[in-house]
Amino acid sequence: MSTVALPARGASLRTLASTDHKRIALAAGALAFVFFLAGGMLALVMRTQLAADGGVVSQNTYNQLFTMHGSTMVYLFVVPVALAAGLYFVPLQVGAPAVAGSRAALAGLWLLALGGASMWSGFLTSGGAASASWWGFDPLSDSLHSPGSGMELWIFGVMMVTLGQILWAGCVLATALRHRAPGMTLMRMPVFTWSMVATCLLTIFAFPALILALALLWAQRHFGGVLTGGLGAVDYQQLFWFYGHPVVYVMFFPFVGMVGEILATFSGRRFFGHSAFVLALLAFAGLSMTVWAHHMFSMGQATNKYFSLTSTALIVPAGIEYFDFIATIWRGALRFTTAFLFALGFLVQFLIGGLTGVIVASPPLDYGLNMSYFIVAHFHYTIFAGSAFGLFGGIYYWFPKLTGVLLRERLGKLHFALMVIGTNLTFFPMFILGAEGMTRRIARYPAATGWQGLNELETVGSYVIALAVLVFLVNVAVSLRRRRPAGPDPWQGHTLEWAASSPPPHHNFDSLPPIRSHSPLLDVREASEGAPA
Amino acid sequence: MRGAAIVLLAWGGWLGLLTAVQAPFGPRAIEVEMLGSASAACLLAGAVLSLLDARTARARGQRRAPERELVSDSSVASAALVCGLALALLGAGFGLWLVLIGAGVTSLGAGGLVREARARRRALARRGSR
Repeated sequence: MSTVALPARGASLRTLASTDHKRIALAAGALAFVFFLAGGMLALVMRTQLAADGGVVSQNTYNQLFTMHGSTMVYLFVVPVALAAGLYFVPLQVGAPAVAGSRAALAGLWLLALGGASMWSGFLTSGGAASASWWGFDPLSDSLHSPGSGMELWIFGVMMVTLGQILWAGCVLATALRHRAPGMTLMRMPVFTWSMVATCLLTIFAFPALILALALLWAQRHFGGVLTGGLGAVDYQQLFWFYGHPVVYVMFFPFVGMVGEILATFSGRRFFGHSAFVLALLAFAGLSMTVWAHHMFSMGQATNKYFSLTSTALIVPAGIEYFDFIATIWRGALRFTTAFLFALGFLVQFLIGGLTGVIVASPPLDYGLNMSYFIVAHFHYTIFAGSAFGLFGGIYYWFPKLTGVLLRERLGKLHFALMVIGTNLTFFPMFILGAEGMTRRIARYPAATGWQGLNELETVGSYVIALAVLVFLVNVAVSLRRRRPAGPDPWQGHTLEWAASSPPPHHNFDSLPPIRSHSPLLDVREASEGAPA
Repeated sequence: MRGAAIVLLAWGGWLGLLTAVQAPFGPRAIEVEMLGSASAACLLAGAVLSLLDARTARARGQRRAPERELVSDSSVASAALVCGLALALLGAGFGLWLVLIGAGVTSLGAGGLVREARARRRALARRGSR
């Protein structure tokens, strides 16, 4: 099958209306990274507030800051960047010339931009931005407690962004399942592509619940009587968390896939237990749809025993995945590149987040820890200390494919070291503060609690993270300015994207190697090494 | 591509099993409804995909698969359609005037999509005749 490109239009149109999956994904990734920087700035203000005896911003402003920080990081950064990675690499990994439904993918990009602008424009309104946390729970978010258009803009913005993410997931899933190259059977798809299949299933079948919840919330704000009476507010929580827990795995699985690719490549070994990994991933994704109400243990309005059972059962597929990772690098010819270091960092730090998840999966323990900084530490270890490390690993690994140039390794290792120090300084003391009873979302605390010292330590850590991100940005700028060409396959990768030029052409491939396993390029390399000279 | 439906059918079945496991715990209705709906939607999608796969396989048996695939370059109409819909949505909170502007932009976008679809058909026909 050959491909034919329709005639190209002007340069500005190429950027704003391109249907090339690579351009869309790059634009989405860049936009998400801008939101990451903006959300990070909000976090720095919050951390400064908590270290400076609560004298920087008012309680109302602080409420807006943590709401927009959480909303930005979840809705506008981690989920979009995770799906954008799939949008870029899944067509390449399965040997497709384009993504399925490229117009829908473009629509997703515009929905991200418009939704993000809508959410952030709340800061320009007289009442300020939304301040009812990234959950927007009723009645905190109703028109009585959150008057003004900031909350309205937040509701519409989140709806748009979520719709865009569902569209992206549909495109990526259809590409993986229906647009594979000849020879690329389901069980020959690489681990990253399978992780995106699991991610897309969660997105398509869980995210509509958020749109429904927000539509009900909007109706409640305007007409009333929708979420009131009996268990209305609890039902909003049920709907929200039906989205709100799977989204944690949407922010995890793609990075699991990235880490799997990185570990295999830099160990020089075929990924261990590919089939078991795929089955564990799909089982994991299914189980992660059944744990949502563990966020509601302390309310007494959920079936705690069932949700405790399923939440604890998550450790089984997670254990299989960790086993596969360790077995892949076991006795491998390890190359300690920056990407590999970030992948190892992901494994260790996500483990801390995962194991503390076992603690809060137990209702009796959760009753004591719910709404404390222990929970904040737990999810930041999973999402930032875990997934963000996987993401940076993926960026260092695939940057040569995206741009055709290598990132500087020395700056990369400095970035990694600062990230490890910064994340652990910032988030580990939160476990202690949470156990001591410091609750979430407080802009001030009494001096007699003795929490000041640990809060100051966390604030220092957050500035170290900011420094690490600055080093990363310098690395990107230097590498793009003084280019060191990467060639098509600088790492001796295993999967099909490394068979394309860097960056890949519009139609992705001029020709494909034979596909006989989930590591087709490794097959070619082994065959040529085994062939007589 | 054969076998794609099995992923959706298997995953939907797994969700169905996990829904059934709720029963001995005396779940609230909304808990069963939400998970059960996701399971049913996934199974339905798998069934539809399975029918599409079967139809594609039959069609392949009757005529040759197309040798060329058209990869589009840009779609201003898609962007316009989304902008229009977003404006109309915001109009629900900020007034009918914004809904009307949004509706106008949406109709321009929809018209553009029709135009793009025609151009695509013409381009395919031209390539096919060479």
